[in-house]
Amino acid sequence: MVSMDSLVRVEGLKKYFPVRRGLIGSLFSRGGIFIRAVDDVSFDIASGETLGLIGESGSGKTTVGRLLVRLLEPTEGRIFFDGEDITLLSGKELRERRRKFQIIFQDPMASLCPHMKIGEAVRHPLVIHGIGTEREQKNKVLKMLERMGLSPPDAFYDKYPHELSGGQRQRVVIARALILRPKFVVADEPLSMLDVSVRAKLLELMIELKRELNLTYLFITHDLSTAKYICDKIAVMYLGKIVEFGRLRDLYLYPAHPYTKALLSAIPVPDVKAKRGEILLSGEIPNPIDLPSGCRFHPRCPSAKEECLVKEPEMREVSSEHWVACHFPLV
Amino acid sequence: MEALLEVRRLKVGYNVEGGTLWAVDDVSFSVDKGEIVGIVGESGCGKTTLGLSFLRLLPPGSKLEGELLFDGRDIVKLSEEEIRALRGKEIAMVFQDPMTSLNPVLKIKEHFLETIRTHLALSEEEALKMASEVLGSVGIPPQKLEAYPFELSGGQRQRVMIALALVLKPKLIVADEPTTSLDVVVQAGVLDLIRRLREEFGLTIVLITHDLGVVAQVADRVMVMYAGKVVEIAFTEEFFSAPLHPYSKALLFSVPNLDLEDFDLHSLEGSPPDLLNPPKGCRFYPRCFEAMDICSFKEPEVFRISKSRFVRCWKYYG
Ligand SMILES: Nc1ncnc2c1ncn2[C@@H]1O[C@H](COP(=O)(O)OP(=O)(O)OP(=O)(O)O)[C@@H](O)[C@H]1O
Ligand SMILES: Nc1ncnc2c1ncn2[C@@H]1O[C@H](COP(=O)(O)OP(=O)(O)OP(=O)(O)O)[C@@H](O)[C@H]1O
Ligand code: SF4
Ligand SMILES: [Mg+2]
Ligand SMILES: [Mg+2]
Repeated sequence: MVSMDSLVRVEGLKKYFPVRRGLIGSLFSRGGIFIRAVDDVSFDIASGETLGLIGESGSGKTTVGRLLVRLLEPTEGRIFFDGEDITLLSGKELRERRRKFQIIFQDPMASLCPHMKIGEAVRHPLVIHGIGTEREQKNKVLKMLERMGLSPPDAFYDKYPHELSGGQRQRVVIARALILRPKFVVADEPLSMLDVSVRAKLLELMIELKRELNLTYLFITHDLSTAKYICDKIAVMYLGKIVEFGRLRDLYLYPAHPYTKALLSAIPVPDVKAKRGEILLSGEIPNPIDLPSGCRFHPRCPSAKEECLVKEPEMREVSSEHWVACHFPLV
Repeated sequence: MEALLEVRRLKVGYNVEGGTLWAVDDVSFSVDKGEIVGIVGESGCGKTTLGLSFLRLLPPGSKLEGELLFDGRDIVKLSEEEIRALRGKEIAMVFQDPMTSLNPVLKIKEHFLETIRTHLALSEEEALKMASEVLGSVGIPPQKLEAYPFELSGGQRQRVMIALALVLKPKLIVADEPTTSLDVVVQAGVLDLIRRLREEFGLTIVLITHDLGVVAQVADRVMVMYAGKVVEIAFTEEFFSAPLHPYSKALLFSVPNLDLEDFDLHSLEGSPPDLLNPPKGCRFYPRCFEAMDICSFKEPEVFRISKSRFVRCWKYYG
């Protein structure tokens, strides 16, 4: 999964969070317990490419995104950006690089300062990096708001975050991330609060910027039909690990991991009469503190056999550029 | 069927620079006991505002006019004390933005203790037992009771919100985009749970969502809003097989598909009107493909197509 012209590359990335326990828990065990939110993840994204990161809620997608833009310190592993190891950068050096990589947060309200007018919030990155005169900056912001469908833009400029609807806020956060024309954007569920029509419009815009600026995205989403339009490749996460990786087409048409297959089968379609060939996963969603032995998916896996209980599967290539971590891949 | 909620000529206005912005403008509909009504519409059209008005959770200074009959009582007229007794216990809300509605300095268990013990005289232990059970039903292990909101993933926070809304078994749940951060497998589980609760306890749900697939799967009826107005109400099946309002048609046309041969994106040109200065005629007129002369100057009335079907569009006049 490593190619030469990658813009972003991660190797053996891990992030363990300490777990807080109630009184009873701490009486019984001493020493730390950890959630292995990201557990040995490696991939790379070529310049101009979009990697879609999908997977179970709580599987570590947001954590990967935050690690990549250096908002979290990894427990282990390395992160390269444009050939440079940025894992340990800090201070001024990190600030300079930040202009090139941006993140669109999953939770728009929490990432906007409540006392800053939204126009100013979008202008802020331009101010920090000293780009253009005040007038030029404001014009840029107004144009961006307009492109986001926040119209009339001058009325929106002076609003505060609490005066916006959920989807309007989400668009402000996208505008703020894109205004610097970055090279790499981590987009964490960027379109989740938008109706299908506005979503299509913003997808168009994001795809346009991808072409125009050769923008590279890590596109985290639960919406597999939206992912289809923008992603070149897909990585599927389950409990802190990437379990499948490949070109979108290969993965959608020929999912090799039983979890991916279940995921694709459960997409709700807007048709009341649609037959649901849904594969139901039995068993509890496992607890990331107390991981199952062998393959992490085995307690819920319809194809699990004995080997899966004892041996953790390694990533292997089932066809060209299509990788899966499963003892019994479906293709 | 008996109506649990009856909304009559409801108007909700925010105080903004330059006047009152009517985010919900003359909305009428009703929800039967045990029914699931899906509300869809363009971002910013007033869905959350409508939902918040059922619990009177609007910011100070906002205007609330019309009638909101819940179980026979008019919510608009209740005293502050009466509405507090209702919130969480009889009507609960799943908020669109979990991070801002969970208190960042309180652990998850403290959120449950507060919700439960405001209405029930239970010991901490009993209350936490209730909390663990309902958390388990949405796939959150009980250990997370000790976590702070920032220590949860987006979808875990969202499920905590759902669990908090369910824990007191209210009569009505207003769920505002409850599944946006859930993968489709977990989502299917949550939707199953919702259906089950409706069967077992006659739970009534107003489901605000952009996910038309979810609407198709769980809603009995669909209500479409555009720029503060209800533009269509229909049974789910008739809505998806034959939408009537031009906006409804545009919306369904924009739905992305999974066909790997088709990469065309469809979006509606133009923007919704400025709610502070809404146009005289139909609010959809500037973007409508089927507009007629009358649409530009006269606001369409609501026309009744059948016993259960309503549409606000001049095309259906007479
Ligand atoms: N700051 C933190 N402290 C402790 N645990 C954390 C923290 N952030 C995340 N976690 C835990 O790490 C795991 C992965 O979380 P993450 O937010 O990366 O998931 P996700 O894949 O983005 O999920 P979702 O799709 O629900 O947003 C979860 O179990 C979560 O509870
Ligand atoms: N507190 C407020 N003060 C002023 N205007 C507000 C306030 N809250 C919402 N608005 C405006 O009212 C309109 C309706 O907002 P609402 O949040 O109800 O929309 P929505 O349909 O839920 O949209 P979304 O799908 O994006 O969440 C929007 O145009 C918004 O800008
Ligand atoms: S009333 Fe006229 S403008 Fe409005 S939706 Fe109907 S046809 Fe279109
Ligand atoms: Mg996340
Ligand atoms: Mg909303």
